[in-house]
Amino acid sequence: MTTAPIPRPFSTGLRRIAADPWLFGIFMVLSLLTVIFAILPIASVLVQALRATPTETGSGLGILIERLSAPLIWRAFGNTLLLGASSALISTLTGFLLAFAMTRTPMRGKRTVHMIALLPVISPPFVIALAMILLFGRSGLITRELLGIRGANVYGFHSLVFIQSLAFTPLAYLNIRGMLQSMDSALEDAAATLRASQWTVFRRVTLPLALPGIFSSALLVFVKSIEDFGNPLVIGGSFNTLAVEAYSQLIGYFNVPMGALLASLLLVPSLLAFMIHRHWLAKRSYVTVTGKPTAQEIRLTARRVVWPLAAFCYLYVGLVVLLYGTVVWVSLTKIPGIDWSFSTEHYVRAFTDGLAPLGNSLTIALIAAPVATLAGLVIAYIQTRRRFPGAALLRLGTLLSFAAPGTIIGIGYVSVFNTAPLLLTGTITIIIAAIVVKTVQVGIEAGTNQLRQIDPAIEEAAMILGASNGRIFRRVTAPLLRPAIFTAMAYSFTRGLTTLSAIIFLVSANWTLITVTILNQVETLRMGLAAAYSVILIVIVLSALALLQVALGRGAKQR
Amino acid sequence: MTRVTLKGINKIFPGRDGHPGAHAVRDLDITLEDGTLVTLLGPSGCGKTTSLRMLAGFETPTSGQILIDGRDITHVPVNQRGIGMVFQSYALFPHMTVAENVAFGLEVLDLTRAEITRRVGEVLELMDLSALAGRAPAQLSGGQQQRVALARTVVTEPDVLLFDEPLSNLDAQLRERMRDELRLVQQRLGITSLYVTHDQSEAMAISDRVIVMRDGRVEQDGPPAEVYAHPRTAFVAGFMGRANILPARVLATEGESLRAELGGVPVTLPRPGSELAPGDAIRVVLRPEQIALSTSGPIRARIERVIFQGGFTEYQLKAGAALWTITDHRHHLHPGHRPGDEIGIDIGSAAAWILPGATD
Ligand SMILES: Nc1ncnc2c1ncn2[C@@H]1O[C@H](COP(=O)(O)OP(=O)(O)OP(=O)(O)O)[C@@H](O)[C@H]1O
Ligand SMILES: [Mg+2]
Repeated sequence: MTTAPIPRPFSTGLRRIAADPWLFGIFMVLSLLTVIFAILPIASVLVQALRATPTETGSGLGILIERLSAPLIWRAFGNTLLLGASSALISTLTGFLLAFAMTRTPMRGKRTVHMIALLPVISPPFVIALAMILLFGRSGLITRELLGIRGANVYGFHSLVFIQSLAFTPLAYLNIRGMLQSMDSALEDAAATLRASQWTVFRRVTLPLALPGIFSSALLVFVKSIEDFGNPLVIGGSFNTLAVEAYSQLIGYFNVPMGALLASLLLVPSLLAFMIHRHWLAKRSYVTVTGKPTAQEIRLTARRVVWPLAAFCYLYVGLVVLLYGTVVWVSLTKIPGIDWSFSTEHYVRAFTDGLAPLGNSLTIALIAAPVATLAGLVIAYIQTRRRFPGAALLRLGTLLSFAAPGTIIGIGYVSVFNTAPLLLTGTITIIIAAIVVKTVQVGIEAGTNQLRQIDPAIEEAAMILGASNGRIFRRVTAPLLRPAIFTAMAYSFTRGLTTLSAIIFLVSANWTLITVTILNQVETLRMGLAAAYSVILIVIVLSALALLQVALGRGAKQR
Repeated sequence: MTRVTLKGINKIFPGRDGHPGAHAVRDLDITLEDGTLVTLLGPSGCGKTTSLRMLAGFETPTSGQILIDGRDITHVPVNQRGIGMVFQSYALFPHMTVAENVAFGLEVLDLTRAEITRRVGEVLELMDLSALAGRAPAQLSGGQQQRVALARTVVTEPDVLLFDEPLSNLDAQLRERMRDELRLVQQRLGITSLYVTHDQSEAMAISDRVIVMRDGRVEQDGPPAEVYAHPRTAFVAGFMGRANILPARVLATEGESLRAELGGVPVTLPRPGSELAPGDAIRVVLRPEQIALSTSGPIRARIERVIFQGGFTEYQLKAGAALWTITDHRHHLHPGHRPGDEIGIDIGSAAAWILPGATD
């Protein structure tokens, strides 16, 4: 019955536009903004990496080869990959053990383990580094006070791997836990009724089904690890990574081409990992989202399995508590390492002299979060429900911005927004733009997933009842997107307050931010003040999340 | 007074990435008379939903015209057509209560609060839903959700009502009850309706007219009893219920009747409208309930299977190479037959229907 008619994509495209001129206008604006704030900056960094400085002669390629022959580049490149791979391996393994224990065993204290295990996600990435220095540094609580070691060296690769693994384990944990939870336990039960032992069920059913989740977590942690700037800077010592090296070339030596080249090199593994993640893993996910939560029955109760797993979980949680507890304690001591008496003076300082950066960060996060959320959801809506011609550009731009490390975005912004008509350096706008660009993808993804689960007939029903597009979005689509709104808001707000890698290039005398301030305190060894700031930041994030939950949750209960 | 006309409608879904497109609807001409319920019936993929969605405005016809009372609405947006639709999945707003769901379409009309409350109350009363007004859709049974979907649609008093397999999510018993309720509401309100289903018994029970579709085309259009008794093609005959469609050959025409050879036996059949000459190939359509087993029947057959169905007994027989199905609705009155029994088939003559030619 099918004939091959002449496809007329152009006219159908035009008709789609005509049906929704407003939405198409928004789509055009978003596409333009994506080009300006994502594609252009990244492209400019790539160009700068190739451009000759006045002192250099020769063609672009010759210069590139010349620059690439510098050993420092390859050391940093190797270090970055080594760090990324190590952290990915350890975080994923830890995350899997946590997730497995949480979903498959009757371990005690699951709620507590869950809450504490998530702490590293919502704190600035380098709080753990700070705690490590406080515990194991030259005048560390454990190294010097407890063990009496003098001149202990906490700086270097080993600490860095430890810190990153700990910091990124929650990502892997959440990802794998979701996978294990949505796995229909009937599958495992079916295997068990076929007389498979519990070990066989694990090896032949659970593990293979969880594999896409495990692998995707590893890629995610890898990308996060190589993008990380704060930890390597604070505790890397002589172990230089691309992100740190790019920063010091640019800010320390004003060597723009070298900084750009290092940042561009950072883009390669990031993009690669991201592309593998999207195109290869997406097709291999066995878990289908049915929308109805499948009941998970706990079948694994053998002590010899449960106890070691539980012990591992408690150990992990104990470590997190120790590290964050240290930060809290140090924030309340007079002069850490010298005078351990109780004092609130750091908090007093933070709330007097240090109020400006705190206020700045809060302002920026409060603006960036709703902007990123709204943009993300609207893009998700356009991409799933309307297929406007040219949507590929928008998709490419937002994906690129998400995959691109903060360093390259930061460097790109400095160069692109330095001249009229896009003169934005030193303004709050440029910082907000960087945060929105780095976080918008989470809103897009959450929104897309949510929209896929909403039967399009629900919106059609509203339409045929006479509602306009605006009313449908307000009264039907947006309320149903509430979980996605929460995810996007929480993520962009938290990242807005805690991010460092991109905005380190963008802060100015007018707009200095709390994370940068903490970093300065650490570098000048004012640990007490740094700790106090970190605690305040964590409290702010936690209260904001609680508020958000209440705000969005109450909306749901009205119904 | 609402009369809907679809004139020469074609719908071609463009292909993508080198795949051919789909010509989902071809040269569709339909008229819905005022206040009637017309059913689109056909197998999966024949273009029923596409036709309905074009009338609703969710799809634009590739060519053709849609008129309501003579007004061309082919390019009028969905939300200005004054058409109501009940979806297969009901598409209730999950975040609103039953009352809020029903009120949604009235809010769009900018009525006063009091007016909205009054009309919602009336419709909930009519649909026997008053007690459930404050519930969320997730807290309702399938049948209740179905009634809410209908209430939400009729409360805005649309000129035309569309149904896309509205009962397919219900179990068999409930389906029949809801079907009758639906028909009752439609008749009481007198709304011109188009109803899509692939269940022929549902189509016959509910409609004023049935339109059988196949591969995007109308195969036959008429009142249910007419389409059932006088199918134009073997496809329609088979789709409108069970049928024995048997090859035969014309022997002679005699006044109002026709002599034909069927399964090696000469039989007398009613004469069809079309001209037939001796020697022509024909097909005889016999409904299983219109023929009977009798020891003296002229066509000899062997019983292969006997299936007890409660209300009737179904016999599957073999006569020569042909397979026959016969249902006995008076099986309680006489002893049954058993597999292996040799028996005769008596086709009577009045109800048989002749299709010219050996194939459609
Ligand atoms: N959006 C679309 N894009 C491309 N082809 C489509 C689209 N919608 C429907 N089709 C094709 O058009 C034809 C008719 O589809 P339609 O949904 O109208 O069938 P239907 O009669 O409602 O079937 P069913 O009983 O299964 O619901 C099918 O071949 C289908 O594959
Ligand atoms: Mg259909």
